[in-house]
Amino acid sequence: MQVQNQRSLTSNRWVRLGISLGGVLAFFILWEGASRTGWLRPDVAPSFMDTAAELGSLLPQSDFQAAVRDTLSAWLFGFAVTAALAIPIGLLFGANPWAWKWFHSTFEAVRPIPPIVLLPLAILVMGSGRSFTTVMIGQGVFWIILLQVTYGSTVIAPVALDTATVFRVGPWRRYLIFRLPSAAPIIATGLRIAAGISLAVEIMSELIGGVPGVGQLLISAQAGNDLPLIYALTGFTGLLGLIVAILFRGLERFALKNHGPKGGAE
Amino acid sequence: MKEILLAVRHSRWLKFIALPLVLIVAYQLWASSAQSPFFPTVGVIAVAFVETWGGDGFVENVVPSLTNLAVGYISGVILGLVLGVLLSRMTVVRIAVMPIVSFLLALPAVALVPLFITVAGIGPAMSQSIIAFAVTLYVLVNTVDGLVKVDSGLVDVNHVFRIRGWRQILLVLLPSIAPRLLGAGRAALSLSILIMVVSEMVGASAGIGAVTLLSQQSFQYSTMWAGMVMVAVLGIGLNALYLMFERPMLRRSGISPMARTIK
Repeated sequence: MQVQNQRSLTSNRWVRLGISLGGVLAFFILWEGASRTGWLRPDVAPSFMDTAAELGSLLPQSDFQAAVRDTLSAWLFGFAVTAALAIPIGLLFGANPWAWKWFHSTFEAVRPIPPIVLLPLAILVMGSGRSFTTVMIGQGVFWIILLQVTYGSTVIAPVALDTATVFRVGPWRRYLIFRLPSAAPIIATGLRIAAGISLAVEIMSELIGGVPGVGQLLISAQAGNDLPLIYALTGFTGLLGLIVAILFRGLERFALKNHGPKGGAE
Repeated sequence: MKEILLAVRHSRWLKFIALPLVLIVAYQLWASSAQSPFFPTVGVIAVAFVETWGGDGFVENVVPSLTNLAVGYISGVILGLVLGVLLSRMTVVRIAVMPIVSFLLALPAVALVPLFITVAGIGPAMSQSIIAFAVTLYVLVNTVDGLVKVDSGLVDVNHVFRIRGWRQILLVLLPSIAPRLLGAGRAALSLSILIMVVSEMVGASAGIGAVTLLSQQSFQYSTMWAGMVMVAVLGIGLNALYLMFERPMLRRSGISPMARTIK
C-alpha cells in the first residue's frame, strides 16, 4: 500500500537497518525510562538494566547452562527423530499417490489433536523423560513435516522423472538424487515451521510435565515470584526461538537457491 | 459391507466421521482387553465426560474457560487488525517496530505463561490477557504483511476513483486480504485454545485445563480422559465452526479457504 518510488528514503536497505536498530534502541531506552520514572511499576516489570543484569548473571551459572543443554538436547532429539521418520515416509507417499489416498484420511483424523491433549496421558505412561518429549514433539510436528514432504515430492518436474527412467536409475538413487533435492525447498519450509513448533512443545512439556530444562526454571521462578528472573528467562527463551528461526530460515534460503525447480541441479 | 463402503465414499459427512469412529472402536477393543487404569473403556470415558462437564461442572469450568477464550481471542483480533492497519500506513514506525515484533513472534507463546501469572495473578484477567497478546501479535503480523504487499494496481484504481483513507482500508484493502486474514484467524484460534489450556494447567484451580491436570495428579484417570476429550472436542468443534463462517465470506471472492498464512 505504500508506493515506494526509487527516491523514497526507506527503499535504501541501510536506512531501513538504521531505523530498525534505532527502534530497538528506542525500545530499550523507553523501557528503562519508564521504570526509572516509576511509570512502569516494579511489580509489573523490572527495569531493562535489571533484566539485562539478571540475564548476564544467569549465563555463567552451571545449573542454568545445564537447563539450556537439557532443553536444546531434548528439542533437537525429538525434532531429529520426527524429521528422520517423516521425511522418508513423505517421500514414499509422494512417489505413490495411491498409498497417500489410503492413509491420508487417517492422518487427517489424528493430526488435529494438539500435543497438549495427549500430555496428561503421556506423562502417566512415559514419565518425564526423553520418550515423553519425543512423543509430544512427534505429535506436534510429524504431520506437518509429512504433509510438506509429500506435497514437495509431488511437484517434481516430470522431465526430471523421465530422465531418471531413461537412464534406468534405480529406486534408491531415484529418491536420493531426484526426489529429495527437488523437494528440498518445500521440505526446508516445513522444517523451519516444525522447528519453531517443536521448540514450543518442548517448552510446554517442561512447564507442565516436569521435564528438566529452561521451562522448569521458569516455573520455579514463577513459584518464587522472582520477577527479574522471570523476565530474564522469558527473554532468553525468546532469544532461543529467534536463533532457531534465523537458522532454519537460512537453511530454507539455501535450499531454495541451490535446489528445487528454479536453482542448481536442473 | 459393500453398501457401507459405497455410502462412505459418497457422503462427505460420513467420510469425515468414518475414520475417527474406526479408531474409537479399535481403542475400545484394545482398552477392554488391556484392562489398564490409565486406559478406561469408551463407556467409562463417556460417563466421566458427562459427569465432569455437565451441570455444575459446565458452569464452574467450561463457561469460565470459554469466556476467557472468547474475550481474549476477540479483543486480540480487533487490536491486531487496528494496530496492523496503523502500522501498514506508517512506514518508519513499522520498520522501527518490526525487530521487536519478530522477536515476540519467535518467542513461544506458552513461555509467557509464567510471566503473565506472576504479573496478573491467577484468574480470568491473566488468561484473557495472554490470549489477547498472542492473538494480537499474530493478526498484526499477518495484517501488516498483507497490506504492505497489496497489489499496486488496486491502489491505483483507488486513486482513480478517489477512494481514500478509512473507506479505502475498510471497503477495499481489508477485503482484498480477507483470505489471508481468515486463515490467520483460524490459526490464532488454535493458538488461543492451546494457551488457554496451558495457562489453566500451569496456574488455575478451575477451568478445563485445570480440571484435566488436577485429575491426573489425583489419580482420577477417567476424569483426566474426560478432560482430554473435551479439549480435543473444543479444538475440532471451534475449528469446524470457524470454517462454517469462513466459507460464505470467501465464496464472494471465489477463493478456497485453505489459503496459507505466514508463520
